[in-house]
Amino acid sequence: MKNKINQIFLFLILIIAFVLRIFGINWDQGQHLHPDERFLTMVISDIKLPQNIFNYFDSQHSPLNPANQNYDFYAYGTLPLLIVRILGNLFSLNSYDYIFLVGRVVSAVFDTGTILILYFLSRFLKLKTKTTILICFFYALAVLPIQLSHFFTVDTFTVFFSTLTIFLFIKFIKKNHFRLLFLSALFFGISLSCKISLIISLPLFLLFLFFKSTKLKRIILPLSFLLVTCLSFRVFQPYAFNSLFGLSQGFINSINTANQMITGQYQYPPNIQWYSTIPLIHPFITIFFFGLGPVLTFLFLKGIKKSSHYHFIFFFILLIFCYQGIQLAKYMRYFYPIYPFLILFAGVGFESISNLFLKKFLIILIIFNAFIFLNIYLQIHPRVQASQWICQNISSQSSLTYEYWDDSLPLDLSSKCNSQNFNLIKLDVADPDTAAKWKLLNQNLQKSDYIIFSSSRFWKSITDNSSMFPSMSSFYKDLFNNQLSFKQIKSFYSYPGVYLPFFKKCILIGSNGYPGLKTSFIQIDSNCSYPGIYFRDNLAEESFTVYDHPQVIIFSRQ
Amino acid sequence: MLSRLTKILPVFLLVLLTIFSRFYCLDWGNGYFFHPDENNMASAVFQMSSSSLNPHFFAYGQFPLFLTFFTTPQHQFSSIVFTLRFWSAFFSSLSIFIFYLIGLKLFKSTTSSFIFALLIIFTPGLIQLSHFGTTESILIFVFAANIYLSQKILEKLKFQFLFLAGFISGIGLATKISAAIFLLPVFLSLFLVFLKNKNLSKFFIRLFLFSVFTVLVFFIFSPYNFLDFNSFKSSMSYEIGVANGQTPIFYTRQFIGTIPYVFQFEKIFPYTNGVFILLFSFFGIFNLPKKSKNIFLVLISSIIFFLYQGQLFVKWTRFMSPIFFIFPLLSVYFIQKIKNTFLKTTLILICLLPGIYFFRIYFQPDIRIQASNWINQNIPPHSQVLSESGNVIDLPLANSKINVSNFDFYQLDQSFEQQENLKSLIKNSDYIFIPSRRVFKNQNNFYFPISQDYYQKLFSGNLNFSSLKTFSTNNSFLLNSQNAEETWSVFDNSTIRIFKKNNL
Repeated sequence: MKNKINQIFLFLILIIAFVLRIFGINWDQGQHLHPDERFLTMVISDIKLPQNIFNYFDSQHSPLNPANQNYDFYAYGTLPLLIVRILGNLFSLNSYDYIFLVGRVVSAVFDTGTILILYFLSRFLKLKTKTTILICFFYALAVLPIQLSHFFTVDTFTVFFSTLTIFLFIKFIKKNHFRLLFLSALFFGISLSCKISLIISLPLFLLFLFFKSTKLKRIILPLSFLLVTCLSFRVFQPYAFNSLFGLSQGFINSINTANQMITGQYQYPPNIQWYSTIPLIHPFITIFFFGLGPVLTFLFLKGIKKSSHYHFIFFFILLIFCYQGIQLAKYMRYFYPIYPFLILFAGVGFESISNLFLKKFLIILIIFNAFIFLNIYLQIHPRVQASQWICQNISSQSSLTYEYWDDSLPLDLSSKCNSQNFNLIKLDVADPDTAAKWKLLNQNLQKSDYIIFSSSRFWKSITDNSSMFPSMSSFYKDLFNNQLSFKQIKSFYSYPGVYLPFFKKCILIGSNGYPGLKTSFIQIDSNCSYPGIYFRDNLAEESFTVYDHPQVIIFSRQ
Repeated sequence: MLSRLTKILPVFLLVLLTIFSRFYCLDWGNGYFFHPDENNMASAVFQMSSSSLNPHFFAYGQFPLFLTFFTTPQHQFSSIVFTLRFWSAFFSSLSIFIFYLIGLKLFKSTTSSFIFALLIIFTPGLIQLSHFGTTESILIFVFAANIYLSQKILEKLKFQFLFLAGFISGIGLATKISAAIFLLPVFLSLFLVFLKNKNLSKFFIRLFLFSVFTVLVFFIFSPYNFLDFNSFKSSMSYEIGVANGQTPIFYTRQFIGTIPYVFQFEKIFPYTNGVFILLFSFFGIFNLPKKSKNIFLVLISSIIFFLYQGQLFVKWTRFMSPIFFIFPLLSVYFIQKIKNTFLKTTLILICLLPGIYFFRIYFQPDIRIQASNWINQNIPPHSQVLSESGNVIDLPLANSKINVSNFDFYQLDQSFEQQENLKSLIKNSDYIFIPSRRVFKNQNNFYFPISQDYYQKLFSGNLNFSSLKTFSTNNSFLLNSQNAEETWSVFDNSTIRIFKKNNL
């Protein structure tokens, strides 16, 4: 009976999790505003399913291979493409305009599936039934998994398979059934076929097998794991190879380039944000304030004390956190594979609290945290709002600027409201601060009627790195201080918070982060589109805000 | 008699090596003063007089300035510089003694403490800093002394330790305001004492007494920080802006795009401590004693210091100097576990190699003087030379008939005018000098495309110039000192490159 009640609870949690993950699934109103997702959508709408199994394994000719569709740089795994494309074909939703929605739903399904694995893992670790259910509940409400489930990217696929791998691996360590090791390696290969970066955890698996075994098994087990992983990767990521086991040069080049982007050897605009971040401390802060939220992080810190019971999980967290945490690029999603386990420890931490009132209070806070985050999917995307406003309030043929590497506005909403009606001027703000850059920039600014920032991407990261961009930083500071011939006239945002239609005003809590300006911690905006109480997250990491809830700011020539 | 001798001899050896390694060649530079901070401090002392002790210079506190002002034999610039260097070497020597005492507390063995002190003596970074008339050696002493006194407080809390720690901390603040972080071990030890006896009122009274005494000593030895508060405040806001990168200045460009913490382990510690000690210190971590409050105090204080200083935008070598000692310390934990005497001795000797290798630069004439002599003899009179400005002192050339244009490369990328000037200078020059790594290592990247283009063309021979001669003194054993953080290789040694126009 008790077991049945738990199963009902689990079922309910899975339903809740899935609903939270598909809530506002078309959050960008079909405008493809996530650049990585946009790229994947382009690739998936161009590739086709192979005619047969031989064609699938034929790297040179398979229509599923992105390289054969002129995508020479493709650093993700192809398994998510295959899954989503099959479903897209099944529902006849395989065009550029629809397939991303299929991808987002599948992404949500996989992340919901991760909860199920977490349930079985917690049970296997002999945690109390209540704790097991709560761990699933906490994961269902964790912010980063909810956010990433809204994107058609490879992350949720990877995390599903990596969590499954670890569950089976831990089971093998305890039970010693070779079948479990085989399955674990199989799924590890599959997770690499979603995202190769998880390869950094391979030595951990091998070392554990080495130290946990005796005699000849010390060699046989790690080798078996390695072999099955390689075979699995060969099957599910066939386009990484150009012969039976020879890696293709295109795949190697893509991985090298992606690696150079992460380490900073390859200079490109999104990396500017990372130069002012502190290794290890920055990812911890982003997990604390945004990814998990303060309560779950606090519970994790409480639970980690008992990590001695779960060695492998502890070392997995440590490895991923330290390795990714000392790279130049420390995107929140790079830490996503450890989230299920952070939450597992949070559950353990929660279990150790004896005060019932405190427990209830913490649960309410966790629910509240997820609730306010979901607000961003309740509103029309700020870039869409801004585009509508531009079409209504700015005369056609006006000159509007956009920043290189960021999206230009207005978006192409309709035949009447699109970018063709305006004269768009590109500002190369992320170029090195040379005399040539400024000559061109000044010429372009003189021609412009409006300066438009479609996100905080550059004004924030460049002013955080004044030494790198001394003149550009001064420009942004002067602009926000109204010391140039432009004045801020409008801003569009969608912050985590509570939408209160009867309120008529927006109460904004937190710093707006404008460069060189000291603003009050609490501000009232009586001219906002969605009245309510909001928590400004302008100081959050770029990738947390710029995709699904960027702030758009419009300056007009005075 | 023999046993007494075996006790005295190592101590005698340590003293001898300390004096030799710290005081030998304090007059490096052959009469030229290549260190900018040393020059700034000397200038501040030089303009002081008995009637006006206000240095009008607040990057540092007044303690080292007063100390130098009242002890310099002559009120001349060179004499002031040498006095600054003397005190630096003195405090560096004193620190070795303190480290020896810390070793005794931690290792509970005179042999291990002896090895620890020996490794400290031969730490290249500490040898170098003792030869600079700057504040680092005093600050290292303050941190070490506070750690030692905190260990004493932990052992038995006597008020004289607390007051002595207050006095030392006050001296630290009066030397440089950032020494506030060196109060940490004292706070920590008081807190640990409180955890033991749970007496909150006593904890606060001790904390109060210590703080008050510290501030009092700070005021006595650096009064103008209070009396001329506005100047101090504006100087501090400038220094803070430089430190966190919000005030862009040309000499911090090497830190653009560097990763905190990783940078220190890549560009600083392998050079200042040597690769062997760095490696052995890693192994030493696994041999640390468990549940030792003393080692906990040392490690926590050092880690917090590292986390705070390491995250700053400017990551100068000297900012890390107070924790250079941590690597020899951890290495001793590794070495003392080795039972085989031969292997142990070999490892110790290997650890000394980077220090010995570094120290040899003081036995040679300054490389810039060597280069100047060669230039004077080999470059024909009336030759046109393109060189670089921003090197504290330009190459001291006696041959005044050589026309040297010291071009400001720091403005090159931001100014069309400078870009045009450079083109005409390249066209008209017969030789190009690169007097140090300062510009080409720092501006040879994506953010300085014009500079990058210039250096890439020059080094690849596409500028119509070929390498004629390079003068270099590498100070880093098994490593290239030019790849280290800039200040490691541009003050007391440098690499000078001379290029000649093809077909000249």
